[in-house]
Amino acid sequence: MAAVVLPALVLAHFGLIAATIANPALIPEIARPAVERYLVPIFVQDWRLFAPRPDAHDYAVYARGEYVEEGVRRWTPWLDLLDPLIVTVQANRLSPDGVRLEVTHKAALLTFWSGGPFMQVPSGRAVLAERWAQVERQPMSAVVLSRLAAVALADAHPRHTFDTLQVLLTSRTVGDGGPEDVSALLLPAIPFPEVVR
Amino acid sequence: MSGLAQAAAVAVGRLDGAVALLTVERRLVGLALLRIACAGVVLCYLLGQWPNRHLLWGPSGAHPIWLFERELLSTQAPSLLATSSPLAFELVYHLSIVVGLLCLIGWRARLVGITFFAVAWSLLHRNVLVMTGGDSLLLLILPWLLLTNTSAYLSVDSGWRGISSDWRPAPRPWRALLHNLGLFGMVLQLSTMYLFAGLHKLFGAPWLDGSAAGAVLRTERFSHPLLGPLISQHAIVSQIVTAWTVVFELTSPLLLWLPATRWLVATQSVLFHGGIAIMMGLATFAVEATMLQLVVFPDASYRRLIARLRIVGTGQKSAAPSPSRPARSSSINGGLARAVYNSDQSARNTEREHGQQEARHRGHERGSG
Repeated sequence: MAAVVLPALVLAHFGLIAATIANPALIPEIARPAVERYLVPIFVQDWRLFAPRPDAHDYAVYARGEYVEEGVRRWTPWLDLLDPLIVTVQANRLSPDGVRLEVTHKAALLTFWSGGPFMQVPSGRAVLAERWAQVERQPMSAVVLSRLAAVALADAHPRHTFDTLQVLLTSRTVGDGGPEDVSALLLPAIPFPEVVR
Repeated sequence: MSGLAQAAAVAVGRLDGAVALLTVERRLVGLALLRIACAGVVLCYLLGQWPNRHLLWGPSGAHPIWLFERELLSTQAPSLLATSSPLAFELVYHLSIVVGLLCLIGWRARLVGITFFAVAWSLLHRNVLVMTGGDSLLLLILPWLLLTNTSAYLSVDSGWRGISSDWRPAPRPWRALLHNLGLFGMVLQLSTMYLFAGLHKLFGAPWLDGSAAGAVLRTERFSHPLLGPLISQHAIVSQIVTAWTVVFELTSPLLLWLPATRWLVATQSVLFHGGIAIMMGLATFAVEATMLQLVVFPDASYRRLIARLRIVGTGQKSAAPSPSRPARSSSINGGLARAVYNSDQSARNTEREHGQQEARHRGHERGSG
């Protein structure tokens, strides 16, 4: 009996997963909370691997820090966070920097996505920047980017003590010869975070 | 009426066959190799990122503890590494390395397996930006792996039993049932991944017009300076790779269950994910997505492979029997269990033939001696 019932339960489990991925409306509304409690967080999945449309954008993340030198407040030049990581990983596919590249790239991509329709026009991006003036109100990906930027700046300018940090994100469509669409998101300057490495 | 009774008898016979299939632990070699691969991946993270551990997972790192606690409401994914104490973090991190090593060597595999699941989960959910699709797959198969016997080979628990050992599992109906359910769950999970990855692509114009592979490889993040342009700058190559990707993902969920075609899936998987590792720089994802193929093959396949490698290694002429073709199901009627049953029956027949041939060979040697 168990040899019949248990495999049937396993099939039902995957049937439930298939239904939630394909069309959650297939599950009766009354059962949805119970199904969610059962599947989240261990069995939840969706498998949109580069689908339905692969994200054809090049992202760039720049950071600059403000410091005081001889009584004068100065900003560092913009520091590129992603490009050195991309160069390193292209030279060595097994480089440990691959993980930091994954985190930085995904954080940039998610920060753009988390802006939703506001990201489409410059005035919307300005609204977002204002909304994200406080670190606590920023999306998770933007917080992570700021903290990664703080580490990169401290590494690049070990003699400076920074007060403020600012991050700039850009996104450029990668076409096959068509016109390029570039958008930029300047995050508000925030107090320089203390990050333990 | 008699026809109906005959059909019922056939159905009962098939059901008995499927039930009998569940009373002996299957794919023990593949599961041992999968245990090693899973532990290897987690250890690569833990040891490879040891110098960056505070930045990636620490309480005041890139994803600080206050941020983790804020996101926990939506992720509902707790983590043992989510602590505000740097000392506790160090302790858990280094204990995680020990657990990973114990899993790798297969010591007290069932108990360590549960701890290993907690460790892998904690590591990958402490900073979700680290996690790739391959890591998701790893975490999805670990609950099923807990049900299986992963230490029958290549482990401390088994006394480092080799793949070519004569040992065979003793029938243990209940444990075997759970083991085979875990195995069934893992292969279903692999099928689910491929099926939905393929289906989602059918709804995207770039996957249908053949431009998707080129578009992905033109981005800096996923490009290879030398090899990338070979695909992204040649429309026909991009179309071929794009079409292959979709066809591979849509056919694998069926083909990996059939004895006659699972080698085709495994070969394509190695080529496809190997290509992703080299071209796109997603090496860990590639390993994680390929390693589940290890449980698709029966133990006899691994023994034949080892025997062949030994023959090649020693330069001897083949003394091993030629690999028999697995019995084909006349249809997939009777379900996927039937296909596996046929395959394993075939493997057992091959082993029996092998044993008889060895016995004849020994008798011949004695006779001639």
